[in-house]
Amino acid sequence: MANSPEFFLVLSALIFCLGLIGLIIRRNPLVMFMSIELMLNAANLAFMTFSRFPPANRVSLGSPSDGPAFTFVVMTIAAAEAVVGLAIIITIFRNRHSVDVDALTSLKG
Amino acid sequence: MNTSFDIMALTLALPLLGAFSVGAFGKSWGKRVSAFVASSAVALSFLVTLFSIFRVHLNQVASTRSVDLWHWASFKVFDQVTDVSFGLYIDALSLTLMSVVTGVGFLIHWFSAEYMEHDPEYTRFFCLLNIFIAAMTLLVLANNLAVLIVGWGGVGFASFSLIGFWREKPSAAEASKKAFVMNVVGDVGLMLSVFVLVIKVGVLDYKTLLSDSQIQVLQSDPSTFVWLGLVLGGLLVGAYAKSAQLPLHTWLPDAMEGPTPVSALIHAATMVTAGVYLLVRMHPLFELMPGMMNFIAIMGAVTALFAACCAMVQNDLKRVLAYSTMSQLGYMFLAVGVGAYGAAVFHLITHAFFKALLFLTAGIVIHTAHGEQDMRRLGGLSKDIPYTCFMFGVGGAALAGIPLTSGYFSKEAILHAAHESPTSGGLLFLVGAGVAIMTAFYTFRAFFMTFFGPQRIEHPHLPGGPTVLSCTVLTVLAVVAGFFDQRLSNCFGPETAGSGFEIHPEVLSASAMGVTAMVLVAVFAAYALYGRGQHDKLGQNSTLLNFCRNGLGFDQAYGMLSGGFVLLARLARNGLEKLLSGSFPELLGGSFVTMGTLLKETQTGQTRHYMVCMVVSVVVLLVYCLLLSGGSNYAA
Repeated sequence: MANSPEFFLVLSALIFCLGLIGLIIRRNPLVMFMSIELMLNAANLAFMTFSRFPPANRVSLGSPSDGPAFTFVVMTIAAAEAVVGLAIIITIFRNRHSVDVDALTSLKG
Repeated sequence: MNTSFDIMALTLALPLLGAFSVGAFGKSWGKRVSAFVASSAVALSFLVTLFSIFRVHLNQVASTRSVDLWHWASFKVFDQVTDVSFGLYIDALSLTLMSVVTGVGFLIHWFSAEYMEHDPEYTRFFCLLNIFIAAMTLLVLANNLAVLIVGWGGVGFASFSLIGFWREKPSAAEASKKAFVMNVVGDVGLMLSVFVLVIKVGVLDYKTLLSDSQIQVLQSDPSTFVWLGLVLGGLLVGAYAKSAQLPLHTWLPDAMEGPTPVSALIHAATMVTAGVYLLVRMHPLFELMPGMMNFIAIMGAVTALFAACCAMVQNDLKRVLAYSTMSQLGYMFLAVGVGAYGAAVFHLITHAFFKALLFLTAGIVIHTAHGEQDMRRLGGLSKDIPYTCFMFGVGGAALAGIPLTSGYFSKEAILHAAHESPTSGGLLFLVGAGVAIMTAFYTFRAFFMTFFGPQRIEHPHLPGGPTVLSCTVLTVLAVVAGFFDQRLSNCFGPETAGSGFEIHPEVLSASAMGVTAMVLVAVFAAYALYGRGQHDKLGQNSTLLNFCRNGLGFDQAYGMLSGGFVLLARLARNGLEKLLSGSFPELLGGSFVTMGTLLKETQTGQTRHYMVCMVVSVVVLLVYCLLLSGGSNYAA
């Protein structure tokens, strides 16, 4: 079971959906960030899966090391994004003394 | 195509140079220098023309020559190639006209130097006068119809801008617009005939087009006459518009809004005779269609009669002269129509002298009377300006055709030709004789009303030296030009003899004596009626007289014709314009605003709403992609 790509792909999809639901239903931006991390890591898992189990009947477009390479890039970007995001959250908190996402509706048309 | 140079090209270059320099530097030069430069450019042109005539006279050069200065253009229509060069055609006709254009032109420049002294736009005036002389030179000297059109348009432009010279006067602006529109009608006719010639013959230069062999080719082919009618009709429309012949004449009386020297130069002596020149130049083509010739003769007689009727009842001194110009041009067309080209050109020349004289002296009268042009308020001026009175009298005598003046010889030549003409000759002669008598009457009516009777002008402004001197030269010419008849054609050598340019006025025939006697009676009648400042019955305001005075309803008819266009334009402005620039853009803008208001509601500011939208869209896109690829990528 642990030897087939379906297992890892389904696991990846479950983690992604968990992150997505968390992102939509939670009001605390910090938790939303954690949800985003979950989604990114689900994607990383999918990358590694495709790297580990390349399709047999197709000419592969890349090499088996592409998966880990993408994963490292994603992790780097996630770290950078967390830095910027946390800075924004701190600024919002300083200005409004609250970080409730539902209260932040200045963009309403 | 061989190109070469002829000294006559200078007559074209000099006024152009004058126009450019006066236009560019006139303001800094001041009035005296500008007038001197402009006048000397024309005077030099005149000397070059005289020099050319002299060389022909000494047999140093051919009396008829076509000189191509440079190759201008080639047209290719239906495998028919037409080469057009920028060239000059120099023969007896063009040299004669050139000497008149530059000679009279110079005298009028000289006259204007003092006459226009107090005008703030002095330099613009002289610049435009020089442009006119250059354009007229081009018109007369062109050796093909394409170059002629350039000159034709040029004189039209000069006429337009000089009629409207006092642009702050609404009536002058209106008059210039009218002249321009009427002339464009003629230009279109001229262009049309040139287009047909390019398509059908492929030749535009006179030398080839009017050569005997070409005429014979045209004559031998009966299918020619279908399009030849179009060509000749187009030329005729052009000539009629330029020479103010019925029914395209209405602009000429209004053109008197321009300064008086302009009326003398453009609307009496030179430009309006361009139509006569065109017909005389093209006469071998017109002779192919005798019906067309008869039409020209009859229309000429009708115009002469029509204009004489209008001139009888005018109260404005300049309008009398304007209508008399139209009437004399009718004479010239009559002469062309009966084949007396020599008589037509002869009358053209004498008319240029005496009509320029009449206009210039009328200008002196108007200055003397502080701008008064209405003859009913003039009178008794012979005591204030006796010498001008004498000169006007000489000009009037020439216009009326009193024996021994130039007008007598030229008019007699035309009447004689009309008498000899086989086609409806008797009637043409009778109309011509009648018009001659009317001319004598209305000319001397104007003379007596202006110069005789009680003095009505207080503190007259007396004319200065140059104006009187230039008029004196014209006075001499108006008398002696009549004796040039034979010598005029002789001076171009034996080649021109027999080419239709020699004149044989039968001044002693019985009919000529009769007409002369009647003319003298008409002059005495005018004296008896107006000589002592009597009440003027022809100047009254009755329905019939006003109808005649306003040109027999032609203006109203054209007004109605153009009224349709005005109505259409007004409809477009009030309907279409309002729709296009008012309602339509407003509707378009409104729809965008509504759309924006509706779409605005989707922007809630709630992050989760955006998120849901994004997720749903991504899911939809993914499902769509999977369906598109059949979901089979990993099926194996």
